[in-house]
Parts: sequence; C-alpha cells; structure tokens
Amino acid sequence: MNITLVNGQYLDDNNTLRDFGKIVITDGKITAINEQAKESRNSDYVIDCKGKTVLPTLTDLSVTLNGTGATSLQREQRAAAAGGVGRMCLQPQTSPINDTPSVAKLIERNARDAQGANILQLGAMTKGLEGELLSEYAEMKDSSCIGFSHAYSAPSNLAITARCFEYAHTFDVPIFMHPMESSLYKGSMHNGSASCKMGLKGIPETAETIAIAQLCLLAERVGVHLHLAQISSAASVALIAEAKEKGLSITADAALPNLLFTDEAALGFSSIYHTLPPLREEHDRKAILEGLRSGVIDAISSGHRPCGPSGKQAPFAESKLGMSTIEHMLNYAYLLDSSDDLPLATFIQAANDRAAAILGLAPSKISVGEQANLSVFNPHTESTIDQMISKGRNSPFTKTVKGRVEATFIDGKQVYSAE
Amino acid sequence: MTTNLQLNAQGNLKHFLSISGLNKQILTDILDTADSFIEVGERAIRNVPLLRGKTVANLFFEPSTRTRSTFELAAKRLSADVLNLDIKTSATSKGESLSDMLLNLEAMASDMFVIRHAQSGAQHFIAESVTPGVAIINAGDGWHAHPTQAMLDMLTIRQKKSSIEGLKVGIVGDILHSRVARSQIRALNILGAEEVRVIAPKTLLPTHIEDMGANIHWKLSEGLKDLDVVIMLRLQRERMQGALLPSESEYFKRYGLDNEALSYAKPDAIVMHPGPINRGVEISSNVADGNQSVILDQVTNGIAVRMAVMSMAMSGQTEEKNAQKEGGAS
Repeated sequence: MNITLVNGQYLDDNNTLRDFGKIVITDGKITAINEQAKESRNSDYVIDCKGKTVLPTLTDLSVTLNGTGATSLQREQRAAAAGGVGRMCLQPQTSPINDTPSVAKLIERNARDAQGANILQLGAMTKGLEGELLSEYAEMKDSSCIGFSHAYSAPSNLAITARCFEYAHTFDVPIFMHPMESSLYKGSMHNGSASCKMGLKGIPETAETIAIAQLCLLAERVGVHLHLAQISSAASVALIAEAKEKGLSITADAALPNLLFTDEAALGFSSIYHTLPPLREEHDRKAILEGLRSGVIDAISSGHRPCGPSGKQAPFAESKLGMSTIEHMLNYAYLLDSSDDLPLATFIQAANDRAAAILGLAPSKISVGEQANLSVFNPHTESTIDQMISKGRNSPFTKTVKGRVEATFIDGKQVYSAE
Repeated sequence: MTTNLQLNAQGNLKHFLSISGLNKQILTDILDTADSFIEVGERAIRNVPLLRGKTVANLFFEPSTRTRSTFELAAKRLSADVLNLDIKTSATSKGESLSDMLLNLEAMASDMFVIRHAQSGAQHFIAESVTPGVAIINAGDGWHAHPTQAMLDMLTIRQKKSSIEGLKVGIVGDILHSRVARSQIRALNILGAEEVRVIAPKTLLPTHIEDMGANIHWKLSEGLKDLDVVIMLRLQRERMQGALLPSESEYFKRYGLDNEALSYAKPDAIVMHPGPINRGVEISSNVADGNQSVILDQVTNGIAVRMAVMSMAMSGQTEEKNAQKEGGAS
C-alpha cells in the first residue's frame, strides 16, 4: 500500500522545517522524501499538504483518565491522535487504581485495538495510591508498566518514598512524581494576589519546591531515575537546574496549562482554571518557557484531565480539577509559537524527542526508513469544540480552535483522519 | 468579567455579588438609597411597595440568624413574599446538590435569591447558571465577600464622619478568613479613604493583602495611630486549633481593643464590629459599650442597606427585561 503526501512542509529529524514535494509511505514505512513532487504513480492514496505542516507524533507524559473500559479508553486514545499524539502515559489514578499486574493487563487489553494513540502505563507507586505499601514493580513492569507514579498525591512519608526509589532502582524503572509536600499543598489555586482577592486558600510555591529539594536529595542517594512531573513555579525551574548541574539522574516536565495561563485567569471564579498543579504567576510561566528553551525542563505534557459536563458545574474549589487538552496539543503548540512564547520546533523537541528519551524510547522521526509516526496539521482552518472526540469538554477554548490535525499515522497506520 | 456579571447593559446593578467591579457612583447610589430607607424605618408604617408581588428566597447554605433576619425584614419592608430555606449540604457532594438545588428553585419562580455559601465564588457560579431575570444577592461567600456588610459599614461611617474620603481606617483581627474585611478594603478604597490598614499577627493575614490596597501592621499601637475608624473583627475559637494562635488571652493582650489601645487612635475615632462580639477576646466590654462604639448603629443600618441593594438589583433586572423586549420588538 502506497500513501503519498504532496507539496507541504515537514519537520525533519534536526527539528528544522523544510518544504517537500512528496513523502511516500509504503507499507507503513517512509520510503522517500523528495523536494520535487513527481507524478505519484502507483499511489493508492494522496494527501494534499499544501499550506500544511507534517509533524512527528508526540509522546505525552501525563494523562489522567478515570475509566479503564475499552470504550472510554479508546475514545481518549482517538482524541489524542486528533491532537497529534502518538503515545500517552496513563496515570495510575484510574478506576480501579492501576496497582496490580491484573489491572495493568486489563488496561493493556482494552486499549490494544484503539484507532488512536498507544497507551503507556504508569503503575501506582504504592498500593491503592494510599502512600503506605509498595506495589509489585517487577511484575507490573512485565505487564507493560513503563514507570511508576504517585499521580497527584505523595507517599505518607519520606521513608516510604525512599523505599519506592530503592525498589524502582533495583528493577530499573523510572519514578514519576509531582513534587508535593502534603502538609503545605492545601488549597484550590496558587497562593498569591488572585487567591487573596478571591478569598480562596492558596497553595504556596514552597509546597512544590520543598518537595523538589527533598526528592532530589533522596534520588541522589539512591540513584533512581526520578522524573519530576508537571512542575509549576520559577523557583522549581531553578532548583532543577541546580540538581542537573550536579549530575543527578533527574528529568522534568511542565503541563500545558502552566505554559498558557496564570492564576489571573481564575479571577471571576471560572472553574475551568481549577487545575493541579495550580496556575501560578506570569514570572513562573515565563521561567517554565525559558526552562523548556534551555532544556532544564525536558518535556511538555498535556496534563489532560477530561471531565463530564457536570464536573465543572460547581463553585470553584468544589469543581473537578484539570483541563481537557490532549486533543489540541498541536493547536497549543502553534498558539505558543505565534505568541512568541515558544518556537514550534522547541515544543516538538520537548514533546517528542525529549519526552521519549525520559521513557528510554526512540522519538518519532520523519526520515526515510522510519515507520510513519506523523500528523498533518493545517494551521489555516479551524475546528469547533462541538467536534471534540474527548469526553472532556473542559477545554479553555470556548467555541472554535484555530488549526486542525487532518491526519495522523501511528506505527505506520493511518489511525485518524478529520472528517 | 465580574463587572459584566453584576451590571446590566445600562450599567446598573442587577446582581450584588461583590464590591469588586463596582465604581464609586454605584456604591454612592447604594448609600444614598439606603439613607432614604432609613426614614422609612422611622415611620409608623414602614413598608414600601417596591418589591410587591415579587418572591425573595433566602438560601442559607451556612447557618446564620442575624444576617438572614435582616434580609428577611428588608424584603418584607419592600413588600416582597419571603421564602426561607436553610440548606444542609452533604460534605461529599456539595457541588452536585447545588446544581440540583438550582434546578428546583428555578421551578419555584423566585425573583431573587439571597445566598450565603461556605465556598468562595458560589454566588458567581449561581449567577452564571440561573435563568435570566433572577437577581442574586451575596449574603457572604467563603472568605471572599460580604458586600452588604461592607456597605452597611460604609453607611455607618458616612453618617458619623460625613464622608469616607480622607479617612484613615484600620481593620483589626482575623483578616485571613474574613470576607467582611476583604469587602471593606475594596469599598473603602473605592470610596476614597486616605489609608486602609490591616492589623494582625502574620498567621491571620493573607499574603498579598497589600495588593488589595491595605497597609500591614503587626503591632496594634502602631496600627491604631491616628485612625478615624477602628473596625474590629470577630475571632473564631477554632483558630486556636489550627496553630494560628496560641491562646485567647495572649491574643487579647496583643490585639484586643481596650481603652488604652483605643487611646492611640484619634480622640473622635469610632469603633465598629460586624458582630457578634466576643467580649474580652477581641474587644473589652467598656469599649464595646463606650461612647465611641457605633456597633448598634451598624445593625440598624443593615436593614436599610439590604433594602437598597435588593430594590436596585430588582429594578436592574426589570430594566434589562424591558430593554430586551424592546430590542425583540424592533
């Protein structure tokens, strides 16, 4: 089977945008990339890419889904493909919690046949995410868990965290932790001027930075690969830079909402901006973007957390946490590029090359000989929120979204095509 | 956003959710309207027909007797039918029950909801969700706002000091958990107070309070110096539990208002308290009952201010409805 993409732009394996005449995909593999479009003989199918950009698929480090049934999993996998995501890490905070090999196998089986992004599982660091007892890391690794995470909570104390690190190091699996000092991590938004005005309890940045300092010291002693997930403050970026300079085996990511918004967005009590980690201040947002440019922050995660229509229908602090973001990953990438916040190439590098490296996986590459892991993005059209595939309409976009993914190939197969 | 939510297209009040987003003119209108209702309170027949035929529902998701009674009295003096609902919400699914409750209440065809809720922003959420035409009056939400309390305080200050402009006002006590303080700071700044101070130990002060237009003092004697108005806040007993304060006696010694502390303020300074007062905890009896205290005037003014905002919000809703009808006809 021959599929030919013609007359567009693509991001090459040096993360440089280039024009192409023709990209030929034969039986799932990229077999030719030509500057000049010649006749596409023998092509079963041609995709016109005029004015469009072909980008490698992304690896998303954090998606939180409740349901583990095939229907709900596959719906979000398809939504991810519509956002240009090829692989996504599923947080263990599912129902049931992913803390045993059998749950991991169940998820693997239910996600297998999806027309969408592949699911990479993060197992629960402790049983039931209750913070007390170790999960079966070795068995779960064999049942396809790629790392272990404590989702949006922390083990009960540092002694237990240390055991988790030691056990994970033994079986050579990375630990994903959103750094949180539980005793300080109380509130529904960032502690700052906005929380003061709104009369809401604020989470101080020290709730995150103190945890980073502690976790880095522990990781240094143990030697485990610690991934600091979804950091939110400028001070965190500085601490991570310091730890990396010391040569620690740590990596870090920031979630999309923290790249896009600040706590001021919540003034007026709009519950869509009720997120965890909380949206912080403009200098924090700027520092995270700078961290992504310099490489101190390795990756960008979607932080995708879809919720049904009633989830946000409540007073701010009682509304469900998070945003539905994965379906618009590339739209956000273009938005950040056009606002001069982050160049498109840096975004893709962070969400593809560097995200994959954290998991020890090869990135998606658009070059001859590679399997087709790519999406075609049209920045000149728009899609509407009503067209969303994800169950979560808790998107910060209200009606229309600029740009649209028109086709996505994962592992050589076209899994998504915009209607 | 807050501005749009509270005002109709003509720029008049249609909900009363917070002081934030309102300008000096609207606040002054509220005070002037309240002044006119004070006369009504002094007449033999105290009712005016401004809300005749309208139904006002008092929805108190948090227990309250005083505020609810003054709202009830205010609605009755405006000739409205009043429905009182004390709602106990289950701790687990407050959000859901609130959404469900709204659907039920809309079916009752109420014209105005007076709401108190433990969650900051609950009234904003309700104002965004209810059927157009229903006015929402905030009777206190979480730590966020208690705008009618702040306006009755402004009315009291204006009565005693003739104007708010140029005054130095200090608020003493638990600012962190106080919706009253936040609304007062807003109102005082909008109405032109020269200086607003907050006086408390650091454990009872929210960070960034200075961004709202308040100067911070940790020491009572310094904070009270040259004040025209001293506002004391009620100290909740549960503050000793959360390691915010060690004891009531230490608090009273450092932050309680007695005659000696009051002597740091101007000789003609007035003393206010939103009530109910804790004698010997935040204020001594002789100050509370002394001739500088205006605490009982505040209570009287509460009814007039609530009549003012209820009648203004109702007429704002009517104005919007009429404008839409005309717009629809053309």
